[in-house]
Amino acid sequence: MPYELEHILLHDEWTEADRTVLRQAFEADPALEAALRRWEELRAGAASRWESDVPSRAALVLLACQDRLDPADMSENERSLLQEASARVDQAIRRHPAVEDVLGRIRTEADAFDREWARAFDRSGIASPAKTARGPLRKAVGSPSRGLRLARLSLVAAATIALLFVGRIWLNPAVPAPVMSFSAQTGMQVVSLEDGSRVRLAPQASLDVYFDESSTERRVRLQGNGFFEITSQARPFRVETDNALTTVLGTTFGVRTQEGTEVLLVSGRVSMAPTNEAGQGITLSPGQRGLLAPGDATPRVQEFTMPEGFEWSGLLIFRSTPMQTVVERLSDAFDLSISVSDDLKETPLTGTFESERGSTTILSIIASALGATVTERANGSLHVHR
Amino acid sequence: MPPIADTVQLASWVREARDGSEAALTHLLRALESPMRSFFISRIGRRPDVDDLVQNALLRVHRGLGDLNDPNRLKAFAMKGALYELQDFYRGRYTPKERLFDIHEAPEIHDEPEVSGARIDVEKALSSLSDKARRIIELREYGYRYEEIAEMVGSTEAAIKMQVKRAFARMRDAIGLVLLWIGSFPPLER
Repeated sequence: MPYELEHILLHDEWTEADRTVLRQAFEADPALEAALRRWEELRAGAASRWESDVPSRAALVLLACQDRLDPADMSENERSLLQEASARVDQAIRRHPAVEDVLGRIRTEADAFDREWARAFDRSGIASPAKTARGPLRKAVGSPSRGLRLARLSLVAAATIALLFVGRIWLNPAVPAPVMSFSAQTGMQVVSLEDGSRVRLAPQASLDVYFDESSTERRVRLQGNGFFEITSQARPFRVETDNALTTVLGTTFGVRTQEGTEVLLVSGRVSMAPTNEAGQGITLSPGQRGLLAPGDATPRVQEFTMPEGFEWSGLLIFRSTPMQTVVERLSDAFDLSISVSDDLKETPLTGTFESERGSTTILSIIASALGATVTERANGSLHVHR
Repeated sequence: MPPIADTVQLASWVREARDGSEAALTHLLRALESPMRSFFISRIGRRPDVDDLVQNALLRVHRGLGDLNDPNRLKAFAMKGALYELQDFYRGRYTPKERLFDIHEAPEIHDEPEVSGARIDVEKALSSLSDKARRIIELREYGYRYEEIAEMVGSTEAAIKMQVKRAFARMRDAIGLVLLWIGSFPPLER
């Protein structure tokens, strides 16, 4: 097996250099690309069958730890979950022997937790300061994303921030505590949610998540700018800002909250309404922008041209965009001179690119899809042609 | 520095926190941070993700205090939260970043017709795998690293990776046969 293929199949963490090797390998061997695509389908198929046949991850935790837990240690939901999972687990193991491996692993992890607890609160019952880990409570912060990896920086916040965070929750008991919280400080952060949805948080944005797998609706609260890719489910997905509530079912859209709330819809359908009950909602279609200023009763609707309006997300979005427009947009984004041959100017392109990947990588991907080549001219400009 | 605590003190803080004491809640969460952090480091190493895992595990404890019927059972309660967070971490480990083909890689050109018959029969492909290979693939999709899978199944990382390479080669051969078959007969009705 060639070195590159082994690297592709077995590598744990991807870099841009890895992807460059991959593209070169595909150019040399299109059958390899086809085989790897089918391998991805196989993996996805295996994962899908597991999801159908095997109890949820939370249920697996309860199954693995039921000898350590009293019924009183579980909520009513957890007791129901465990009962249902217990009825299914034998069949799940017959179909997927790896379930036994997972249960064993969780038990090992529970043993590890027992050891750390014992270290922190030793047999005399008194914690030894020397044994405790350094580092105060920290509010979650994010880091710039690299390619498509979910990367997070080490937390930097001081103990007082965490105390204020806890205090904020406690001082206002009417506001339920979020399940999870994320905030991006100096760079973009990509957040993956429990339901498979993804959110790109712009610098200084924050996201509180108020749902888990047992919730009947998916609700988040956004401050700042966020670009949402929402998985289609029966559970509605709601984004709350200071003055607006946006409800979606399987869509891609961005929300900005600098002056009121602005929703730009890329695909799918959303409804947008003021958070006060007196206001009236509207429904947006792809390519439409909803604007709700503070105090407005009804959002205003405008058309917008993609990829305009998404510069803040770091994404370059093209939807049936003629190549002439694509290269103009790339030229502006990267301060380059890029042109396209006459026979390609009207060819429509649909794709989404992270601008931080760089002009060379993005042009290479587009040219590859077109069956074209990128040539650097004597004056330094780039020309896409067949 | 986290407060000195024993299990009796922890139970007392749980009661006080449930009665509305902000100070007790803060003491409780700060006391739990140390074992939580050490636990996650022992499982996934000293990574930036540890901070988020600790934060979210403590949030679970905070949100669920109302469900903790016996304050003396705090350890079991905290353990559940930590294990839930760890399983969620595994779920998110590979899905976004390891995917080889996605919308960022394959822009669509609308004047090209969609290629028919290009998707595999997943069941057929899965059945072509050995039981061991399928087990490894499922554990990988759950989110474990190859060295973790090796530990779980009682093998070596090298042997696990060899199983993956053989499974790929077997599938690649099977796909070749399927494509030839489709080319030689009328298309199947789906």
